[in-house]
Amino acid sequence: MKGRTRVMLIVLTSCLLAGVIPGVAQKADSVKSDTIKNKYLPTGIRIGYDLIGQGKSIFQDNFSGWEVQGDVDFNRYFFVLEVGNWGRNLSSDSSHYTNSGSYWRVGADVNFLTKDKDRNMFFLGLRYGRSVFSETLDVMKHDRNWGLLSDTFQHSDVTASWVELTTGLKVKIWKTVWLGYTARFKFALSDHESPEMIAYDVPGFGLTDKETTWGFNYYILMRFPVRKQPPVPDFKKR
Amino acid sequence: MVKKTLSFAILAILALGCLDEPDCFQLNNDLVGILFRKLETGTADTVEIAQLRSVDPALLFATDTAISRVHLPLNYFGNEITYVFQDSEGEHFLHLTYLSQVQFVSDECGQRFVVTNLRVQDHSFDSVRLISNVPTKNASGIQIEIYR
Repeated sequence: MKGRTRVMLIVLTSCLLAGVIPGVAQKADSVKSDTIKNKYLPTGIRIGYDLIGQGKSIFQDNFSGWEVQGDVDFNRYFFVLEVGNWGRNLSSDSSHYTNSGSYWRVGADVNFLTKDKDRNMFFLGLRYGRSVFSETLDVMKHDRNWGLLSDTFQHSDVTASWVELTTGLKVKIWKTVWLGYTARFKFALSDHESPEMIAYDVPGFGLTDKETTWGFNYYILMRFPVRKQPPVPDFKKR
Repeated sequence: MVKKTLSFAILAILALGCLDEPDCFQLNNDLVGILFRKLETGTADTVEIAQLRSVDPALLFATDTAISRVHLPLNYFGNEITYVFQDSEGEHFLHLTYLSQVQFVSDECGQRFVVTNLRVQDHSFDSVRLISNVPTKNASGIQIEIYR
């Protein structure tokens, strides 16, 4: 966990130092944005597909999954909905584990690059996630006391929920094409046990061996405008 | 555009390197520690055991030995077990129930069984006291005290 946290911090710091975030040091705006009419009306819908989940599905034999994300802007606030599905297929010397399930997350992001010409985003956000999944564990083990033990344990239609703090970037690459990543700090996982089994992996949340965990998504997105965006106040060309 | 794309590609490679590496747990907590005490004084007692076994599944743990404490395994594929202590005066039994839950740990470690809610369901001793309802992973700690 400490290693994973450290790498995540390095990633975030690298982004900041690399200058990927344009306009962080923008000066105070002289135009009050409140004067812009209908500034809280959505201007577009952005739909994204998670490339990390797709990459893991291709390159890892024991993982299969996908995730899509959609967001709608309300000025600097974004309503976000994420839907996905994943399953794992793992084997050890004494057991075979499979799980599969769907999940969704809903929440909001706040953009802190309000004066960027391209509407690039550096955001902080909050999510509520919920997963419905099933898992099966086949165990065949030779115990030194009890001899050969064999059984199949099933955990069906389990629901679990959790909360996430998110941060990340979304950058316009070309016309309607965007790239973005979301780093997630996941916590407050609800009860996920049955009388026979304790969940190992909750789709959408991850491994349950610790009370908190990290997640990372890397999206390619398309933005579909629905109305003209209001002008960016006091934009200065770089 | 190229600079931005490259920056994001590097980030993706870094991120992939830190995904989903599980840690190994210590595994089953399937040992129950039993301590014998004298009913009159409460001090530790040493018992001459002719035979110590479990019933269903039947397993012989010890014969002709003197013990004051013993750690016995729970059958974690079930939810109950009965131990029979045979001494010169006859047989005594101790019937325990518990909740055993399985959890996959990793492809390296396999699975673990988490045993909780240990209860003394029935017994034929003078008095039995449950100290802790969570069995241990190794031969340390006492869950049950038997007074005789």
